[in-house]
Amino acid sequence: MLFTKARVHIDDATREWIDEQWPWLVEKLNMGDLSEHLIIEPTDEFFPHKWEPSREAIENLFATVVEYAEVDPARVELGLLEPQDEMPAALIKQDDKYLLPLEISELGDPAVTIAILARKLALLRLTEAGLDMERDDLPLLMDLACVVMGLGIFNANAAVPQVPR
Amino acid sequence: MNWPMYGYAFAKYAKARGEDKPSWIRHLREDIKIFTREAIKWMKK
Repeated sequence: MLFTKARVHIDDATREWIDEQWPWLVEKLNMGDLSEHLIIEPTDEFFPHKWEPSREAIENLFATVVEYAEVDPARVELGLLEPQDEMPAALIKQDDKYLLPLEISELGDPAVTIAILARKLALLRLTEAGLDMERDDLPLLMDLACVVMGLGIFNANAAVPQVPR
Repeated sequence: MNWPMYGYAFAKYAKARGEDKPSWIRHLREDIKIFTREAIKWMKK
């Protein structure tokens, strides 16, 4: 773009919040040098399995996202659910493993499914890092963690325009 | 986060990776792409 301006479209408090959380997340998520990690792109190269609304396809997608989120696959399990009256927990700890509930109604668009899984896995990693789960900014922190983890493209494209979640 | 927040966060991500013109920006929806490019420029000021 020839005429891109140099500006940010967020207020100072929001910018300062991101600036403060960024190094904290990099440290807590043990990311080190971000240039040594992949940024995950919505391409066949990163997601070679054919997508369809089947258990095999969602299990393949889940395994792929778990790998990209740098989470031990032996410690996570996907729990597919029929649509619930109330939103299920983002993740459920079971002994030393985590169950990630996912409603089958969330499987319509693979990019959105990846965003949902990435957010759950970000929460898992933040939980493991000892994050205070009562923090008011937890939803924002989960989104920012997805960016730090290289999975942010999916969450950004699924985000709302102006109102922070 | 909203789109402008993502734009700023991606600009930080690009800076941390030493990328002036990151190729992965092409995968972002157009609005966020613009916010990101503008934030990258702002950070270089």
